[in-house]
Amino acid sequence: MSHLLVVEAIETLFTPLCVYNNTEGDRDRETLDAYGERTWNNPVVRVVDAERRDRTAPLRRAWSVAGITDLMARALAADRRAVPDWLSLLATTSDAPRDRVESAIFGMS
Amino acid sequence: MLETESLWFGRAEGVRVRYDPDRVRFADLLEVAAARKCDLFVWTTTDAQLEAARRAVGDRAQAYASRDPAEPPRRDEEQQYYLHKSPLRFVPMTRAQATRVNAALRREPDNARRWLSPQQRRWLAQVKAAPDTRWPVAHGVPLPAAVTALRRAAEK
Repeated sequence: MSHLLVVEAIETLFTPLCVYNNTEGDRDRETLDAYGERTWNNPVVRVVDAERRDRTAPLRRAWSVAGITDLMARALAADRRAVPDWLSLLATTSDAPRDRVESAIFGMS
Repeated sequence: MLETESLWFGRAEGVRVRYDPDRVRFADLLEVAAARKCDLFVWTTTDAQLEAARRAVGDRAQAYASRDPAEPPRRDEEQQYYLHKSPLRFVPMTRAQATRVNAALRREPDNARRWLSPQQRRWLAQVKAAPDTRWPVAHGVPLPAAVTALRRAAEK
C-alpha cells in the first residue's frame, strides 16, 4: 500500500477511508457489522459506491501491488470509468514471481 | 511484458524481453517481433518457446543455451535509448513504465505520456520548466530513491 503509484491511484481515483477492526461501540464497529466483517480479522479492502454497495469483490488475501491495483481497475470498470493506462500497466506487471518470469531474446540486426 | 534489455552479441543487436507467461503469450511476442522486424533471430530459454519460435521463424530460432559461452552478450550502455535521450529520463517511474515510454517515444512520441500518472506528468513539467537544474537521472533507480532525489534537486 506504500507503492508510489498505488497511493496516487487511491488518493486521486477514489476517496480513501480506513475502518478499524479492533474497536468497540463506535461507527467503525457498526461498519464492520454492516458488511459482516469480523473484528481483529485480517485486513479487507473494499471499493463501495455512495450507497455503500460493493462495486466489485473485496480484496481479502492478495495484499500486493498486483492485488490492490487489480481491485481498483475492476472497480473502475464496474463503474464504466476509464482505467488509466499507468494503472492497468501496474496491475498487469507487478508481483510476478521470479520463478514464473520467462525471458527470450529477439534480434534486430 | 515486464521489461526489456538491449544487448549486443558481437555486432548483432538484440533485446531480451522478460515477461510473465501467465499474462503474456509468447506467440504474441513473436507476432509483435515480426511486425517490428525484431525476429531476425530468436533465442529461447524454454522448450515451449523454442517450439513456438521454430513454427514462426524456422531456423532463425535457437535455444539460448546452445550459444557459444565464449561469446557473452554485452549490455548496451544506452538502455531504453529513446527514454535516455528525453527529459523523461528524470521522471521516477517503474521499469515497466520505462519500457512502455521508451517504445512510445520511438513510434508515437505524442502518446508517451499516457503511461505516466498525473504526478509523474507534473514532475515532467517541472523538469522541462527548469532545464538548468541538475536533475538526477531516474532511469534505472528504484522508484522511492528516484522520487527522493528528484525532490531534493527541486529544493536546491
